[in-house]
Amino acid sequence: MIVRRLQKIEFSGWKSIAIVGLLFGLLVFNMHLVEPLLQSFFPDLDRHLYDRASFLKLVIEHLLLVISSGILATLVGVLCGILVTRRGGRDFLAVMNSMASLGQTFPPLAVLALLVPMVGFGAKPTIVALFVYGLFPIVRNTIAGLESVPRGPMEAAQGMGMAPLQILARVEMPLSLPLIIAGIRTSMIINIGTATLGATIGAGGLGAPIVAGLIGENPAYVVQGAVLVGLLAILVDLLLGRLDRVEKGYGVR
Amino acid sequence: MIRFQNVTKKYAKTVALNNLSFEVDKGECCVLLGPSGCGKSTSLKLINRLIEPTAGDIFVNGENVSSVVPEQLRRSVGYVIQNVGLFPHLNVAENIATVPKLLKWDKARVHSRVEELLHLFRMSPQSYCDRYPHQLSGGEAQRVGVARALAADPAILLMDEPFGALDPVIRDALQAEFRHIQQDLKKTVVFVTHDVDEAIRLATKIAVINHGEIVQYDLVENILTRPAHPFISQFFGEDRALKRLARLSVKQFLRKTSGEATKIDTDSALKLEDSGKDALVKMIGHKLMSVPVVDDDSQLLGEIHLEDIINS
Ligand SMILES: Nc1ncnc2c1ncn2[C@@H]1O[C@H](COP(=O)(O)OP(=O)(O)O)[C@@H](O)[C@H]1O
Ligand SMILES: [Mg+2]
Repeated sequence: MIVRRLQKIEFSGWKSIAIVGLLFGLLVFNMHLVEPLLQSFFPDLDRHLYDRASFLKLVIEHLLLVISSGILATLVGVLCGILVTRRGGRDFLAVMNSMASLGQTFPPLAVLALLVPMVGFGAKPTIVALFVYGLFPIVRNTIAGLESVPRGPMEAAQGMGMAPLQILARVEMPLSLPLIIAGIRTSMIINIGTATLGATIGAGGLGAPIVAGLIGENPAYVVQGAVLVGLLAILVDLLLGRLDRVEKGYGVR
Repeated sequence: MIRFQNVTKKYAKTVALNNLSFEVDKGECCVLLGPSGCGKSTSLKLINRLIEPTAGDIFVNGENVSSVVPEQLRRSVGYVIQNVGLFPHLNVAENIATVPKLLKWDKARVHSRVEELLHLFRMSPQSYCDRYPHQLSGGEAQRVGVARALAADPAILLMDEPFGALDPVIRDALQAEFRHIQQDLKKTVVFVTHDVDEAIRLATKIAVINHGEIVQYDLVENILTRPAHPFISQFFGEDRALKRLARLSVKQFLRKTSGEATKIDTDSALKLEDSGKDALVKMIGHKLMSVPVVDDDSQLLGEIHLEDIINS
């Protein structure tokens, strides 16, 4: 009975989304509620609440960084994945795979350092760095998704007279969508964390309290930024996970 | 309706088809029969240009297929593939509607066509339209596969081992159903199989293929009674006479009774839809030299004699 109830909580996705979302919203709008807690943890500090910008503004900045780079990475990543799995593009499949993984092994901090002299400080270099960093999971999963489409439906589609683009749109994309969404999800989660680096070059976001805390030796600031980043990552992960499951609906046995 | 003219297909090393020439007439069911790897699927895919020949020409309706846009050709030719190949993300109705939608039929016409086809295969639209392929049994999925191929009412139907993956009982049922439907629709069918019994059951003509060449192409009856090559006698087996009998109706052997209608009730009696093989089985089972044939109301119609069967 208890086990069953636990499972119910575990799997009823919307419930956990509501809980995490509520907690996140509470902290964003009412961080002062946890001030006593911070005071008891860090009694030596004279300031506990980060107040140089509202948390709402930081969250919005953060999301703008992640979403704009995510949209770019999704467009480019899916397009690249499609191109290298076409008949004419197969030769580039290996190159594309290694290029995308190279993008991810390159430290984002180094990308930022290289970009600032070229495009200046702020959001722009951060978005580019996040784009490069988030591209790999999307490219990899798009390729894996398209390659996993079973031969039967492919041959049927061709044999019934679908043109290559129709096969792509009506058979290949729908069947590889769950994997592509999983790639976008991974990419977004990684970049919600990575985007905190943007604060070092003035892009704002939830990295700001972390950076301010590091410089001003105020761990309470760091905790506020880090907790919000963590909750945001979990929230987005849960939301995209729902999308994934809705998409897979037809496959549920 | 379909004509192969000196068609050769080579892959890097293998010669899949060697100088194939044959013709399938309108309304016939031509079965390509042969061991695995002999080139049956290759022949089939040449017809709808999924494969291009190395040499030779293929004509459909007198037109060289190489001069027809492949997509257009394929929309006008029904195609049932080896492993069904239903689209797993589309429901039964959407799967069947594939070609009509490609041909831009209006919604109402697509809808009524889907229902018509489901009725044809004795699947009720209410309970099947919205199901996804994983919610179908093997036999149902294969029916939907054939329905999908028939959707735009093509004159030609290509079938690549459509019943190969089914268990014997279901396969039997689907073969019977297909024969029944084919009697009404009179499609020109090219049917690929490696199963001798299936070929004998469904074919008008059989093309026996071995190593990419046609060994014999003839009416089923002729292949069974006059095999042109030791390979064929061997491939069809010693019991080919029995297989032939299975194709013949008891009507062919019936000696009608004259005089008044009598009602008889015995389990040695045959029905009109039984085959010559069924008659033989009854004779052996009941140790009789002749057995009666009755209609559905157990009225005596006549008799079958063993000598007639043996001399057929
Ligand atoms: N794409 C291909 N590349 C190379 N060889 C092939 C290809 N397709 C088929 N073959 C070969 O051609 C021969 C005939 O194949 P197929 O027509 O599929 O035989 P089946 O009679 O079993 O349907 C086989 O020897 C097979 O290995
Ligand atoms: Mg084959």
